[in-house]
Amino acid sequence: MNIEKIFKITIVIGMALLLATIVRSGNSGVDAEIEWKPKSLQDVYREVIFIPSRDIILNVYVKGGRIDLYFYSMRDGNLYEIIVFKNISRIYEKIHIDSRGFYEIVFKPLIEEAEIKVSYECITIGIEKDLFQLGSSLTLIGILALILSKIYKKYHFKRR
Amino acid sequence: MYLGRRLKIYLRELANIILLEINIMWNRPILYFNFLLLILLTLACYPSGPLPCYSLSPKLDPWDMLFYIGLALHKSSVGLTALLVVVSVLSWAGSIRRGWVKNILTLPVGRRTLFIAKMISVSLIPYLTFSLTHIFAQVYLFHYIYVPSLLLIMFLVALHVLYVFSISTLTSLLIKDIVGSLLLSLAILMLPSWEELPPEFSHFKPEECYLSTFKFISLYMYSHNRKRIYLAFIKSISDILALLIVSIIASIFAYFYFKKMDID
Repeated sequence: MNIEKIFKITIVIGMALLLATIVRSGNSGVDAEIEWKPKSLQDVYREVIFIPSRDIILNVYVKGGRIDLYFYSMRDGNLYEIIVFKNISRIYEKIHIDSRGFYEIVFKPLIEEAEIKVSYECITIGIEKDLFQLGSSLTLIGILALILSKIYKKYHFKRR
Repeated sequence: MYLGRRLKIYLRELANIILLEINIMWNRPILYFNFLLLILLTLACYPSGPLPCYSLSPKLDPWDMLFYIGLALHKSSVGLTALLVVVSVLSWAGSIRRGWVKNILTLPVGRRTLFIAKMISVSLIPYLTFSLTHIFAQVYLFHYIYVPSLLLIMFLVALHVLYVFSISTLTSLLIKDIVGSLLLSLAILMLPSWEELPPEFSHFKPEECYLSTFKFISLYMYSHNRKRIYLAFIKSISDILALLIVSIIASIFAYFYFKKMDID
């Protein structure tokens, strides 16, 4: 197998990943309905979700009160705050997700002893950025290497 | 000492024939199509949306993951079957038609060596592409590394490849015509999916063994219902055995037929 074939295979694999990114870009999501009666203001409700590196739309509807919503990224055993919504009863927000991984949504009550019903929906939109980057990097590296090898060949044969 | 030298010479001869076969069979359009089809199909079959975790730890639910993996293998295996049928029919019926098999047998190459070389050269590239793409999907897309599942994928894909290769080889050698062998191989492989047939025929569907085996593994690990585990085990074992037995019989029959057949 010559070296140019390897570069061409790299381009094809990169293009397959790019096409796969497009095919996988359909909207899909998770939803849930939570009902709880907080005994104290520290009685929060937590939910862990695995999210690919695509933007999400967070749609939350609170019945029976208002809440604070914290959205964290879970990395290396730590929580990193991404966005906070204070004193909300309804939100429909687009959140930018940079990396594929685990995220935590925390619902914090604002009133004790009141029954709260939270319906939330998390829908992914757009393309997976990391897969797109990998696909485009492989394609570009393959194209560059192919062009360089062609130039080298031409130069080498001219000199001989 | 003498045996070792003979084995070395035989392996070198085999490696040369495999390389030659790969160069001839896996010409550019087929090779690129193989990568495009299998990577695209495999990645399209895995979920791309958010996945809930049923505990508060950053870990995907293994039950869900095994289900997703089994389902993705089940769905994407159709592409592997179709590609393997085309490649093995072209490799056998195509090269017999073009007189390439006759030419190579004029060299000091035995029919056994040629048969093994064709088997490896046809199956190796789709096998590696398909199984490595599934492993990539699990490790890269879901950060899910579970070694038994990775090993199981390697084994089940090997079984699938052997099954499809043996059937298409046998039909190609019997018919020696590209279109006829292609149609007959596809008919044999698709026949168990026909709804009119009794359910026992589903054991001969290569894609079925992925679902049943992953279902058994997830039940074995996370269920306490012994009857369900036992039934899943029986289904999984019978699917694997059905494919294995048919593959072995078809391969042996194809090999002996090839040894005795008149290439002209």
